[in-house]
Amino acid sequence: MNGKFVEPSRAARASDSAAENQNSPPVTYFNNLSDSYLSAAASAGGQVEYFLSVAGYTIKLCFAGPALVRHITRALEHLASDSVTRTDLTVCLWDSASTSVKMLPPEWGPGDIAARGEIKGYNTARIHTAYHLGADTLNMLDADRNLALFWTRDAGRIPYYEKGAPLRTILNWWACGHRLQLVHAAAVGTTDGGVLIAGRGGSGKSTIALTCINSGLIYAGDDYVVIENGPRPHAFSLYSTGKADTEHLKDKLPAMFSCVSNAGEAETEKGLIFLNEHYPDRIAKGFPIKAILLPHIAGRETRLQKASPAEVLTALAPSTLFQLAGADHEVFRRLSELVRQVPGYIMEIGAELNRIPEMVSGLISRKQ
Amino acid sequence: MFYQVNLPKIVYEIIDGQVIIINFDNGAYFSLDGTGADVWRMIEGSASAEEIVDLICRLYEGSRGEIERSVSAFLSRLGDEGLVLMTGGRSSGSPAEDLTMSGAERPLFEAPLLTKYEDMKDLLLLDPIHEVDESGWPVSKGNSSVERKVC
Repeated sequence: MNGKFVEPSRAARASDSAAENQNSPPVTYFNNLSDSYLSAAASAGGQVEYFLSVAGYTIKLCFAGPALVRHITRALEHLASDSVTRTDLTVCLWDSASTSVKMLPPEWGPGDIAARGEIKGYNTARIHTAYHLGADTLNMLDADRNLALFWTRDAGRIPYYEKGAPLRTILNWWACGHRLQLVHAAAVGTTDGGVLIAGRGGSGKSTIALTCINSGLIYAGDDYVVIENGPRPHAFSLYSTGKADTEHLKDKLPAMFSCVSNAGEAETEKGLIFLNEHYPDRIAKGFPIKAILLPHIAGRETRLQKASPAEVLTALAPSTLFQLAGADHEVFRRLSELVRQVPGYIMEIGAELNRIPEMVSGLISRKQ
Repeated sequence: MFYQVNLPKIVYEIIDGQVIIINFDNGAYFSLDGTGADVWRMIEGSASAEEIVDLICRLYEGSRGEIERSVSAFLSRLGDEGLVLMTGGRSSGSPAEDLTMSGAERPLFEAPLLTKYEDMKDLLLLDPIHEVDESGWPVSKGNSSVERKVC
């Protein structure tokens, strides 16, 4: 049951089955850190358990006390699950400020933190480690035990963008080992199929996605979704959030502007909307991917034109690979495989935003 | 002297005749097509400058001198960007042998171009971290609400 306080367990710690040396620095650090989590949970009076269903898998979030729960789960509420027959990934989360448990010192120096946050020497076939400066979070996954650790200094200082897309580093590491892949894209559609929308900031990605939610279309994500390749590539929802410039929302999508959770911070933050709280019947668990859209704000008539596979891959891959710690050539290959399988289109966005949903619907129903 | 792809520092994919290359070290990504993609296909299997020039001369209509100069400049650029390495011996691969003319007439040679994109550098932590707390954990400077992101 979600949100239940229970006693933390050492079960995961005891069931090592790894081929990797049990005394290697990454494994030892992970084990020591999991002990810190247990201390934090004990200090907080127990752990809060929260279950998610992601792409058919069950993920268990164990919080040391309540401080982080709302910050992490608000974007994931549409995936909350009560019936649990098995757990495919367990994530233990805590902060030092609310639990008063001091963090273990790092065994590496600041210079060992690589460009995407990976810690040099602490990323192996089994253990993945990244520290994200800005959000100030440590993320670790033991892939053999499907056990992850997430620590931050102070739950009260989790930045808005982490609340909008929490745990993406851990979820990406884990997904990669399960033939799934996080991609930096939005996704809208119907239960029969939908489109991925790929593009950098200002391209109109969020405009398309948020415009469609007010039509008959359903919404699987604005920023990151999970994809599964295969004969029928599929997109799975991860975060039910939308994020866009607050002034843009006020001007172009006033219904969305009224839903912004952080309108008071518009000078420094994008507007973050927890869409499941406002449009629960519009949030999808996922759908087959019928096409990939590359938005482009043109100022002319809203229209579609065919995009080459290379154009689509250039829009989809770099932002995905640069933003996700550990994304490597295998991820690039998976994205390339997806792009070869589904058609791509450039959507030139003009002033008539109301034409977007009908054009997206037309693409979804088009025979490939 | 042989050229080879600077793996695993970079990752690349070839799609639709175009090469897309990502350099994680500096946050840049690149695209190549036409003669640039042909040269890359050669480098994939490890090739000398002379082998690359020979192939381009077979694939395209143009003077050998011009092709040599263009290919040499292009290889230097690939090296400067950290995309290829020069080695004393051939790596385990072999030059691509499936690069052939598809038509009776060879197209005119055009100098290979490397298109560089740097719009995602802000996503990466390229500057050294200097500030840590008393237990050694890095501390964000300034406003942590500023997202390291492109959207």
